[in-house]
Amino acid sequence: MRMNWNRQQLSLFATIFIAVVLFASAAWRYIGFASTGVMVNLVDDNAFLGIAAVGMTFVILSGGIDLSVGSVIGLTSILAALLIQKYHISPLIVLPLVIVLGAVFGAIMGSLIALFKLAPFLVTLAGMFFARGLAYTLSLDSIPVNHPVFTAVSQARLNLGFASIPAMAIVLLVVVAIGIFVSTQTQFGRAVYALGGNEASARLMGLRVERNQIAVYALSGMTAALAGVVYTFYTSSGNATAAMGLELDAIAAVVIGGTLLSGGSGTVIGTLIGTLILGMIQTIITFESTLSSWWTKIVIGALLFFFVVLQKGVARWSHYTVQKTSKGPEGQNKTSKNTASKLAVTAGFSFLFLGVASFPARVQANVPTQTEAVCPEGQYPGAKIVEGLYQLTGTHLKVGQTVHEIAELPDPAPPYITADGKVEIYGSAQYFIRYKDWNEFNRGGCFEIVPMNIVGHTGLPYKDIYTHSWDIRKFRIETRGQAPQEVLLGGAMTPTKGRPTPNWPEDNLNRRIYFFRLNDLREWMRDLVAVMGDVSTGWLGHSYGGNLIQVDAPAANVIQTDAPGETAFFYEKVSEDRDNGPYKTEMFAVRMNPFDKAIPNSEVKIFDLGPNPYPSTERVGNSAMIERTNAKTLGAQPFSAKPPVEGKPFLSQAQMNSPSRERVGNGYLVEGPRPIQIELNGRRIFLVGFSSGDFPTNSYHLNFMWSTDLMGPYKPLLTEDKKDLKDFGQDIKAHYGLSWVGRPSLYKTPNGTYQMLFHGVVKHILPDNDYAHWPEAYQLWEFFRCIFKVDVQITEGANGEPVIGILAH
Amino acid sequence: MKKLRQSNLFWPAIALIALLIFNLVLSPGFFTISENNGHFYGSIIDILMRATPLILASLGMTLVIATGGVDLSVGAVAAMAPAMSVFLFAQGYGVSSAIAGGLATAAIVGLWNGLLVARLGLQPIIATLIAMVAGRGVAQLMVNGQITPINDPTYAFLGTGYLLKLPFSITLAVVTFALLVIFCRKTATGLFIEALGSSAVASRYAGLNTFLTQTMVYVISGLLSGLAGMLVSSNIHAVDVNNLGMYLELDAILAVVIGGTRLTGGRFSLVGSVIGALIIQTVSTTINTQGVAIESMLMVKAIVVIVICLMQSESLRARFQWKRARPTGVTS
Repeated sequence: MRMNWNRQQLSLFATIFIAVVLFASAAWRYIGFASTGVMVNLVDDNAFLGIAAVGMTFVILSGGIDLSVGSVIGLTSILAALLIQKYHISPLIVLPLVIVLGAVFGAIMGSLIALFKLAPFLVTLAGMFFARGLAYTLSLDSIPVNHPVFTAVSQARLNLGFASIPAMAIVLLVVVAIGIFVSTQTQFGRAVYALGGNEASARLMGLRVERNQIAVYALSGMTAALAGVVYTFYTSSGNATAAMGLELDAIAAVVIGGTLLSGGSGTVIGTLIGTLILGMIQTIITFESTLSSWWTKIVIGALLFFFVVLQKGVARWSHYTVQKTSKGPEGQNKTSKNTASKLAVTAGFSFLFLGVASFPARVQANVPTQTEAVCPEGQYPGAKIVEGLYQLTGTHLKVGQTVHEIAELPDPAPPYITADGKVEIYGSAQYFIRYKDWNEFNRGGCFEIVPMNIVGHTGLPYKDIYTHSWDIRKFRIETRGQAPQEVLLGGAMTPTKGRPTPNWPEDNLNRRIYFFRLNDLREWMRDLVAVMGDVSTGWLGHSYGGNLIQVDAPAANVIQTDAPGETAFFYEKVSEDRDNGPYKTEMFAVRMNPFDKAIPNSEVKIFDLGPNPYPSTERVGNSAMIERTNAKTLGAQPFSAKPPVEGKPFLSQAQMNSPSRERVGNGYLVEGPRPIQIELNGRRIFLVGFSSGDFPTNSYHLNFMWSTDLMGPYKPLLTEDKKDLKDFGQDIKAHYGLSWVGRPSLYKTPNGTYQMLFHGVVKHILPDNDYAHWPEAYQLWEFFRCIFKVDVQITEGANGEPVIGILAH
Repeated sequence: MKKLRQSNLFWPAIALIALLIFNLVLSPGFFTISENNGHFYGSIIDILMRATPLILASLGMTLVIATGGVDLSVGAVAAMAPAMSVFLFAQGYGVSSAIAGGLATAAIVGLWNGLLVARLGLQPIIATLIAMVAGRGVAQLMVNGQITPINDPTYAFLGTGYLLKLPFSITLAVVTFALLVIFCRKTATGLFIEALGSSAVASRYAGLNTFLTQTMVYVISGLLSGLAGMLVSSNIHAVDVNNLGMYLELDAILAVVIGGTRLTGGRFSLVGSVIGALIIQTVSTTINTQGVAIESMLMVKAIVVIVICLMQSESLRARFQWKRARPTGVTS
């Protein structure tokens, strides 16, 4: 052992080694990982973390800690956005100003620590509370920034030929370079190391301890503020909840980068590598489609443990070599025995830790990977409930069976008839069901479950039931003289933060409607650009599901590009959000030209809920009754804290009645517009089926509205007393023990009659037929939604309106 | 009077009383306790009930801080324990196994922290940072990251039940407090802890089993944090692993420091920590009931931390005493 490595070099070597191993194994395992695109994103996505971590390195090197960095990022972000957007001050003034303010904030904390000998932990904890509180007081809502200078900088890239580097990544690299220079080449840098090594000796050496301590915290405040500026560029918005808990990631990056938490030893370049290791773990976990995001935390914890123990080991090893020379063989023996026992303990802990970490996760929903044949009649009691009403899927369900055990196909679209006469039903799943012909479908006979390869615009598949495309419908596009083209249309999420695939729930805000077209690999590949709406950071505009309709088309699922009939596209979207969640979801339509391009500014709200909405559109059951304190002060990130409405558990009666909770109104929901053109005594009428009410409960309805114009305004079909939307599922729910009946898909059969598909939960699979007794482990929306088919009769009413009769005898 | 003023509890107690009086002035019905359905209701009961998780966590934190350590994993453990209970419920176990399993998980994490500190000699702040980061991840793993409802009536009783007209959680906190006081003050344990916090080297030479004492305080802290998390989850009938116990460790440290226990270790006061926790809860409740924006709560907390730290700061006190030394000498 003649290698003259000190502790600092050895730690740095371990960091580099881990980074290389991590990168090499990921590059070997995942195609596309070792690409410049992924690497550039890695640096870009972690720019603000890296910048804050550089400041943190100096603080930790000096023997202190700074818990306020995350809050300072939030404060800087919201303050900068506020000054630029509301007070119209130029970013060229605002940005330097907020960075100086960050330094001042750090200097104040540093003064308290240095002059009054207060614990850095407590002072910066107070700083964390104060900065976050101040940020909340400035604005609780996020403020989008659209100043021209701002957008120019955030989109600027440096083109190097083999890669184009975003501006924020360059900022990080510059900050790291300055950090390395300051820590190694300046008097201040050496003072920081001396302070962390031993404060008393540093003082005896004549170092001005207080001055340097204050400077260290001012530096950290400044880098945190710079990180806040970068964050604001990165998200193009100011957000008071930004970077919640980032201080922990920054500390982890510093420690994994080889810096000793007790101070005095470490490097800035190590911190950069530590930051990239954290980023790589995050990227790997998104590439590994079966792992959920929380594995990031577990792996970071394990890595932290490894590094801390490694540093201990290195310290002991150097201690041991000193002892060996001074004490001779006896001392050596004793120490090595001691080290062995400690290593054994360490190994035991690691084993335990891994044991905990490999805790079995609950089973994911069953997604068929190959075609399965299902015959309701042969194997099961049969699909026919009464004349006119058929249960197509889920006839074999038993009590308590959920979507975890079998594959469901909610939100059925009207049946698609292929060129060779097969009947296909699509819905919100990565598979569809297929009948061999119309007769088999009509009698609720045997079908196949056929998986589809649906991939995002990057070519990577959507990974689980929450991130796949929703509300899919297939259309055949016919152009004279050309082979017909098949497309899928549906809602899909766009990944953010540089990830290759979307994550649920944080990317749900970016759910928009896209076309999917078959590529050379026979995969359904998502278009790059949404049919309408942009990817935004708020709930507004959040939309999914899509239904094209062409006036006078030969069939409901057919669009002719050279036919004269107008084409329009019907969808729902969040038109009002409150408390960072969807409050009002309404239905809209745009005109299309050609079939896949929305005509700009042609969006029309096809049904206005108005100031006094219809009672059945209210959400009542799964209202979000969250304590305001939780929502506002502890609510953490807007992306992860509040799950979307669909994910909310059904709360018990006791919770709803609890006086200690404030009830936040959960808003209004009308969704899933499925238009159809019918002929009624010689008049052309457009009928739109939709659902309203409380998503996963009994108060979810089948509704219809109609108009003589494609783009409305549509008139809803009301109850006898004209006070509420008529629920066409009411009798079915009551008579046949169904619940959560919704998404009516009306269509014309080849015989000229009308039928309707809808989905519903069969109550006898709920324990005791009752929502109150469903198993604790399951959420209500996990119960299987079966597809039903019912005969429908449409006649003309006294005022020319269509009258719909459900023919289940 | 002078003796009273020198007591560590003097200023925290004054602060709490002042807060209560302030509330009484603002809302005269503040101290009223009414009986409804055989249960007591009122602002005071409400504050006590809401403070119980924080009280439990700060009791454990007091012992850890008294040994010169700190436990950052409190919030993560508070999420892990009920997550384990939910996991056991889902596996079909009964309520007693679920509660025992939750507490056992909390104790194991405490043991892990204790062994890292006492056996491997890691700095407490790093040792518990590991459990803080990984613990929440494990908790999310157990329940698949979702808000999971708990509908067991016995489990619900922990946080919402009533015993002798009082919320059961208050009784639970009082009993825990009493047991801990007996354990620390009627045996030599408290002395051991204080000795360890004052000087680990000296106590080792004095023959104290520092390993056992140090490990034990982390196990106790883990257990109490787990219990705190179970109370919270029982109260809302659901486990929200993403938010449950968030910042609980910081509040607990704050409560301990307000209660007069020094972060550097040594002498500790369990009563002080309870008072500290009550002060934090009373401030929250006051801010809530007075209709002040919740957001300002964080800023109030920050100012309270700094003021209390300054009051405890020896270097500041030295400056003051130097200035005050002569006049005091003359008048007394």
